[in-house]
Amino acid sequence: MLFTENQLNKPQDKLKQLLAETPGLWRGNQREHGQNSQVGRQSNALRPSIQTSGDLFADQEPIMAREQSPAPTLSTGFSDLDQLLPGGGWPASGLVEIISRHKAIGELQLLMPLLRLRSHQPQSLLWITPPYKLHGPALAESGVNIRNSFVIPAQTRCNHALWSIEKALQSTECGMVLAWQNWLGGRVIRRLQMAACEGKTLGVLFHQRPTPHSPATVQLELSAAPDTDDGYRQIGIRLLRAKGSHRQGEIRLRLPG
Amino acid sequence: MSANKRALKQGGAPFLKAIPLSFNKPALLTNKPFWYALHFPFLNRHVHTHVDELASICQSVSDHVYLPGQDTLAIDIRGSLRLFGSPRGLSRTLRPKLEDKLRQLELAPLYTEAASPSASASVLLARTGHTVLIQQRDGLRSELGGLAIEFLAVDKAIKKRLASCGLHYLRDLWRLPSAALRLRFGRELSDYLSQLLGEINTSMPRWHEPLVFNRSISPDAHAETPSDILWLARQLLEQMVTFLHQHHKTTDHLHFELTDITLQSQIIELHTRKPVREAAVWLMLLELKLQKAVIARSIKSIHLICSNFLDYLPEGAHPSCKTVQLTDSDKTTPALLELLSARLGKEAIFSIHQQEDHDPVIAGHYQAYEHAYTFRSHAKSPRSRGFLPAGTQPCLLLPAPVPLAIRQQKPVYLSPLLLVRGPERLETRWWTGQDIQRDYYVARNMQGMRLWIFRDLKRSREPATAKSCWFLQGLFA
Repeated sequence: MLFTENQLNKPQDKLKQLLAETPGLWRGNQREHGQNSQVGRQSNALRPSIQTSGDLFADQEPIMAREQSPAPTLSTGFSDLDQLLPGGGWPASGLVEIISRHKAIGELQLLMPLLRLRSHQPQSLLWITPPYKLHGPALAESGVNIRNSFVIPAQTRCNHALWSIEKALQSTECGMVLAWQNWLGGRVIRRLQMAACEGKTLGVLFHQRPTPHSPATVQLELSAAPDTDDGYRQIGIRLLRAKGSHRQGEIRLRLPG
Repeated sequence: MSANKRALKQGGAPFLKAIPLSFNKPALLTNKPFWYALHFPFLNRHVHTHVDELASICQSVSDHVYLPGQDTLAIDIRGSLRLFGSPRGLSRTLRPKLEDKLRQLELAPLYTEAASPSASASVLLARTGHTVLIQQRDGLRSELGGLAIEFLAVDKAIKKRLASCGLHYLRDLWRLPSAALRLRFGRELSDYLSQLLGEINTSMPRWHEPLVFNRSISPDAHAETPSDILWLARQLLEQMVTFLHQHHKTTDHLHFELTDITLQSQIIELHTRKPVREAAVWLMLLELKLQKAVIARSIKSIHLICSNFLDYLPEGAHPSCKTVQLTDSDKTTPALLELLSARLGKEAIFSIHQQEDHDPVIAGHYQAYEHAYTFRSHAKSPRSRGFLPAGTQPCLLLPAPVPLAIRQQKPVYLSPLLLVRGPERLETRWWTGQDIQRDYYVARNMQGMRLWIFRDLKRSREPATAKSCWFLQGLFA
């Protein structure tokens, strides 16, 4: 026996004993054991035969770890929102659904830091069917590079707009796509999400109604909030769903200006 | 009795001698330049295609056609004299063709022509309406002597100075020593005079026939489906790409003409913002266009025309090359905007433009995406130079102001509006007669929407009417 009676009375000691007897019992402990034992130093070719006696899923760990590695994100420019979103910001690529029952409650203000960043990159910005005409001087004043922005106006037919969103998301020439649609089904959103993953493009979809079980990377619901006492505009943000995370939450954000 | 007759009388070919060229045309030597100039006084200088059409006719008599101006052609005919016998023979050959072409162009079939050993002299004589043939360089001085100074192709200031010295005709200049002329009136004049006398060569832009790719394909079996059309178009495009490679050119515009079995034609135009010479790109754009097009009948033939060529300048090809063209291997799919415009139409894609104006509708407008700036990573976004205070105008603007309902003397948009900021007065366009006098406010409704509204001061001053003087202009999204 390696341990005395007194030592084994403690739960930690019991655990140590078990781990010593069965090295692969706990995956989290493997690295520790690997550093000190013969098993850890053995080649990958020999590893499966050894693992049959211990943890069956240990060989999957590097793959899972790679899959679960956090996707690159971009800061939203608002620390509260960064904390709410998984990964600490907007996803670098994928689809972001923004649901708001009413327009003009500050939905573009929320994206302004990101728009400023993306519009100064070589890829262009595509605005698909915005509800009203984009006002160039105001966008330029906010720091958005309008020379790199292109618009498909609201009169465009829905099927053409959806086709354009997909092509823009698939294209590597487009850095960001902002599209307005009243509502889109789950299948359509899945297709757009796949297009965004293919082109490594960030797409932002503005809706009025949420899509249940949306496959989008992030689904946010916006709501109007009363202004602060010092007259600043506020917006309520609820994280409905985020891919690869169970996180949910709601914040109230103070918008600049 | 001529030498030949004498030889025949003596009964033998051995006595026949070859007649030298100088026997017939003692003055013309085919090894020295001889210039034939044509001036078309009724030609529209702004329509370049007209002079191109006339020049292509002239190319039938000589390869050396030059374009000293948009209404004048100069042809070096030294190599053509042996074929046509003399400048007169050449002129007689050209005249009916040129007159026919001028009639086709709905112009008067009139032109002046001059031929001499000097290009500048021929052009000057033709332009001044002198139809004359000068065979020897020695004759130039006397023939040109009568021409007024005002017709010379030199700077106006020089002509003025010559006139102020009492020199009104070329013969006045001939009397003066060339060194003194150069000293007093500059090198430009003395060089031009030397060119007129054929002492030095004249530099003129040479005319080249405009490049056109014009091919058609007529299959044995008619094309029934878009895929059949694409298969045929692929063959034409491959030929075009070979043509572009041969000429070191690229293009941004193609013109397809589909002719059906009833000989009805359908035109399909393809455009790209940047020049492309990859068949796959054009084929993809054509495919998207065909998805929109309605093809009612079988297609009998496909015609591909490309006449808008640009020099092929890939990135780094030349230090002065500012337009970036992608190399062939980099480009296998059309640019996103071209792809979208092929499907949606050119009129469906816009770029955002801004100009400095107080009227927000004029300050921000859309323009066709083709006219947008080509993006460069170092390009900075245009910023308002203090014209627009930060955060005062919204990102979304209504195409035209919408009148707001009034309830209890308050403007309403879904719910009564609360004025958050303002007023900001805007008075402009008074010089147009449709002046704008508005007080702008930022307002908020019960739904949390932040709106940009204004009170029309002109309307509010009017006697009480049912019309509202409050308007919605934009939304702070």
